[in-house]
Amino acid sequence: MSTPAQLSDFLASAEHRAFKYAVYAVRNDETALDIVQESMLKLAQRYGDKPAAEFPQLFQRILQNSIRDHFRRHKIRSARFSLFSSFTAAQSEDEVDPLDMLQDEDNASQPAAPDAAAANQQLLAIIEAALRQLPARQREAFLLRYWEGFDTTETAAAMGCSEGSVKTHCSRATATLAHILKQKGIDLTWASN
Amino acid sequence: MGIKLDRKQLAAVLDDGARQLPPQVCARLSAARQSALQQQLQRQPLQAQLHHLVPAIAAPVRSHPAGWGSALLLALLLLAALWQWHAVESHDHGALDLAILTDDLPVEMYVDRE
Repeated sequence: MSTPAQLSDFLASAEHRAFKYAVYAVRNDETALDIVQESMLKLAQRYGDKPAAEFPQLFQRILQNSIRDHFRRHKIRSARFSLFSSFTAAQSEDEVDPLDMLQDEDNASQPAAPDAAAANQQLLAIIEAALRQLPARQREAFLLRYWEGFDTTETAAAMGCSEGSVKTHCSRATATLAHILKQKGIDLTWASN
Repeated sequence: MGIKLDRKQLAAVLDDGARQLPPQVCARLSAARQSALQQQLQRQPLQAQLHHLVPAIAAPVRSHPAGWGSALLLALLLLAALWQWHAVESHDHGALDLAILTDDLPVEMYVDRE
């Protein structure tokens, strides 16, 4: 049985990451905030009395289900309005390529990074852009394993799939990420193991 | 760039990103957390009542000589009532489906019922 303080501490520690997970998946801040809020409410309402040690897995499960629910709702809406899709403006031209922010021999328009913080920002932008290119299930498995620190069993429980599927998703995600990042001069050292 | 990243370093970079959220996003997350905590607080008193209620019902059943028999009879009666209600419900649904399929819905189906 957990106390309100334990739930509060857990949510405070998990909310920023949860928001990032949702943003990587839905690519919209407002929608991501709604999903995180919905997930927090569900955790508190349905599992608020569970031991605090179970919160991380339960919360991830709820979060991933909420993201999938969002896509299901979106799919239904898209099907209804698909006839009008040709009237929507193309947004690909507005997308920012993190490589444009880097200075190299081909791109002298941007100033060189003045300090390590700026370099980290660039690195983060490149990694996040690469993560967004992964298929949803692969990204989910990769982030749960290597960011959240879940083991294969916990990841499988959170994703609602088998451990074998988790291993396959992680392996493919790591290979794809390594390939994308290699092109930007970043080596994932464990990808070749 | 020529950078090598292991798992921990990758996680650290992503953690940095998660720490640098815009203030308005942090405020929304904080408000969502408070709202969720309120839900947990509202739920707890109800559970506490249930914890008291179950022993209160169970005690007379245990102490009375015919307690268990009466409880079993009551449970059977409830089960029968539930089965009967379910049978009537499913029959109603069947009739309604048939009416919809044959385009022969009675007028009262269009009237909201209390």
